[in-house]
Amino acid sequence: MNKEECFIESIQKHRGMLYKLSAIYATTEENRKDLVQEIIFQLWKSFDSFKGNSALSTWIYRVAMNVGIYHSKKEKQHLKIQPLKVDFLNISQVERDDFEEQWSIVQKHINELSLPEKGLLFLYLENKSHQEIADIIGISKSNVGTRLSRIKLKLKKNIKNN
Amino acid sequence: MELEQLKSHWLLLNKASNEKQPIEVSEIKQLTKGKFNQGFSKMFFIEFVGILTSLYFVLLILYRFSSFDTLLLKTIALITLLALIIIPILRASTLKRLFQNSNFVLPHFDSVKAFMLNEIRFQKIQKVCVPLGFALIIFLLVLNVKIYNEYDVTKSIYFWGTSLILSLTFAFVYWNFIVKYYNKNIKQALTLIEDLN
Repeated sequence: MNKEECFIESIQKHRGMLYKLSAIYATTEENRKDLVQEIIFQLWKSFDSFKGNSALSTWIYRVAMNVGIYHSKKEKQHLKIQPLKVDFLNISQVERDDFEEQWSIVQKHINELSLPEKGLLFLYLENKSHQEIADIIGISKSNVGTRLSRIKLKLKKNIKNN
Repeated sequence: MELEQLKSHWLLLNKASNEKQPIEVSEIKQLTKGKFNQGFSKMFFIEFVGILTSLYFVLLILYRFSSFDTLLLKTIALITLLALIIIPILRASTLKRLFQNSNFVLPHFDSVKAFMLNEIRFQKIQKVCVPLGFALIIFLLVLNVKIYNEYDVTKSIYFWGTSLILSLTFAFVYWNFIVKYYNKNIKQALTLIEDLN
């Protein structure tokens, strides 16, 4: 398998994550598409710098999240998580209603989190292990646990108070 | 509502989006060949318009410099020229630094930290550019009246009166709202960096 084929396969494998990440860092559907394209473009540009010291998936998450920050700043969106309209995901109406209802409750509180906290929460929702999160974020495994517990407590407390 | 519940729905979305949102191979191939239109973001567009406007005024002032016949007008013209050159260069360089792409492969927190440091630098420049921009508007008004109407407005008491009122109003708005806004942004970025450390 050549470099390009390997890259295409990795992107196809992670496309779900790319769309969800774009829903967090971009507002309009057009912006989301642009962001996904920008992430793929930057991933390809940096593909040679991937030395295999970490899993390819870890590296893809890292680059994608970093591009997300810059993109939202470029669009002057003040680095806030935007309402997550899942229409573009074409899921069933029941799943959509259920998810959107819950998302709307936590969304307000997620917006109150700092940028690093949002990144951590995204990885937590993506079901990443503490070790994987540590590799993507660049902190120790124990620090991940501490920070995640703090975020969960903060969110729960905020949701309860409302 | 528990976070675990949200997480299970989030993962459902992953499955659904993987199945129903294919990224065409041809699209990826185009991107790997560099066919990506990064476009002009709103921010860069504003800067671009600003640079073009500055360039226009620089050329106009240089072309009509001989029409500024008093020492005051000459001084104003020179300060304006300097500001018209320095401000766009400063803003463009900090903006370029803010969006330089080398940070994408860094661990996420390191990338956020680098971004925040550049953001602080950018906000500080913005804070200085606002009063400079106001002064520029007044100076350009003086120079334009002289260029187009052959009239030295600095000799008019109404001009000084109006300028004084405008300057006082601007100073009030600047210190009470604009400075606070930029300081708040800088403080937020500093808190974030502290949190990351």
